[in-house]
Amino acid sequence: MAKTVILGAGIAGHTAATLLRKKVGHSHEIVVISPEPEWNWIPSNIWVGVGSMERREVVFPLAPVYARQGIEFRQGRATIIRPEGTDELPRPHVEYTAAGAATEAAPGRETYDYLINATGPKLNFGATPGLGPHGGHSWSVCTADHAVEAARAFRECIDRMKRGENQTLVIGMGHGTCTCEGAAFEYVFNVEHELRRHKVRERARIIFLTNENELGDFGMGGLHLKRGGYVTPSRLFAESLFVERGVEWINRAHVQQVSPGRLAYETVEGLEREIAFDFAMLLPPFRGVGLAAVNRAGTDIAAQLFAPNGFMRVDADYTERPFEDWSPRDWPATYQNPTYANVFAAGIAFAPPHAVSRPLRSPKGTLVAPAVPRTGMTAGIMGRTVAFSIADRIRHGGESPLHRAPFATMGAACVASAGKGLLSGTAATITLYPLIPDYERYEFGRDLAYTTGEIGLAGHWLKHLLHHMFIYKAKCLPFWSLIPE
Amino acid sequence: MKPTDISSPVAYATVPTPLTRFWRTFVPYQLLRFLVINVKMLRLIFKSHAPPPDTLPQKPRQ
Repeated sequence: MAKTVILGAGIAGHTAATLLRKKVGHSHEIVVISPEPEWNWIPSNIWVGVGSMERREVVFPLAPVYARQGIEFRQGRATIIRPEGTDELPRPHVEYTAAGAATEAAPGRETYDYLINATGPKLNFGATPGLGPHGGHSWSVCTADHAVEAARAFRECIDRMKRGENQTLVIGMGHGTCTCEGAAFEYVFNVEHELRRHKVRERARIIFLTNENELGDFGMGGLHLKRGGYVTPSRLFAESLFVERGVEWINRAHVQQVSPGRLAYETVEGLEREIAFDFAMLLPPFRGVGLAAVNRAGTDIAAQLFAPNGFMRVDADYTERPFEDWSPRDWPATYQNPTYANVFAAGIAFAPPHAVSRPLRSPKGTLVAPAVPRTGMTAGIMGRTVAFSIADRIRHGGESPLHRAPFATMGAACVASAGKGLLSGTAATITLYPLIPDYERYEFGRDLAYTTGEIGLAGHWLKHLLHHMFIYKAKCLPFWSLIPE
Repeated sequence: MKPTDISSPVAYATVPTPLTRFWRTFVPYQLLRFLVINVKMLRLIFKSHAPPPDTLPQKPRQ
């Protein structure tokens, strides 16, 4: 009997756990260790964050689903990976501390034959002084609880406008190295839609503050679309939306500090400014969750397992090169750790070899470099690929070839809503292929037959469909596995 | 946000015409677009899940 331990129960970890169970049957052990007792459909946190959806609609408890699937669940936070075991416990194992309601419980450890690191990121609010909802002065929608708090503050902001006060709302990225610009993009247009719905739009100044080189970059270096007989950059598509909805923007920016009602930022052009705000939703940069790694001799091997940003090294090429020499071939395909063949990383937890958007620096030397998004569909595909590789090795022996899903040749689909109604508001729907631009194969870096974008109500319907479909799939209800990642 | 200020990027942005905005919320047309977008996404999903075996042959690094 083989035992697989999965750290994290987000999109990558949960996909891996459930598909692995389906593939290997009930004669092998699967253990999920996650600090959160609930699964969260994070894309819909945007709707929770403006108060148009309830928290309970985007989360569900994991324990009953795992009990039904025969997966062991430990609510805990992994702290140390010991891939060679110890003298006392010679098998590879993971140590964890109890979390949530079980915080009084003693620390635990789980031995493994295979390990999947799918912890997701640490939300690194500490990178910018004053950033974040806990101890800081800005809001976030990264978790369902953060989104509930943001919605409450946003509601108070609307109430002030209804009393006749003008308000400034700043939405965007809280640091020069943030990722998930698409989430902030979606949030700003949902905020704008809600203000119109409450008939207070004229009292609001909305500013989108981003580290993107241009609007429409999304941390993916932007994209090109065929529109009206032209191949146009996504910048035009994005700027058009901002102008149409009356949202101001500041790009190539790094937030230096957030104080109560005030934030300071600098841009790569060397401008240093302050903005006074009444409401700010600023996403944090991500880093690894801070797992330690120790070998049999007791030596710290974290540098072997993890990149300096704390994410796990996999089969990518981490050689440092200038932007001009970056290649799609630098990106991983199997997500296997190069040092320990039974260790994999999926989702945000794997270390990208570099960014995709060109990194820039301000005259002061501050790095402004959007990181590539690796959530949602890509995280699901990585979880599936790793699960299939481990299933093959469990069933057919440890030398079975690994499944491959090159990150560089994945596509991505993004639906950014602006409102939640079925007959009001519109959504921007974007598909692109491949995720990592390949200028050797495609003139504009991507296949224009698969790289498309449009705005309309249909996108709203699709967002609703995806919301219900993926929660259904995550609950492992009948025929769940027929729904693709 | 007035496009008359040429120092602002707003002056150089494309803006949708009233007809474009009409199509975005015209339900019969959007029903058709819904089908089209679904087909596009399915094509993308299948392509992402099954990359061709010759995808990204490893080239020797110098």
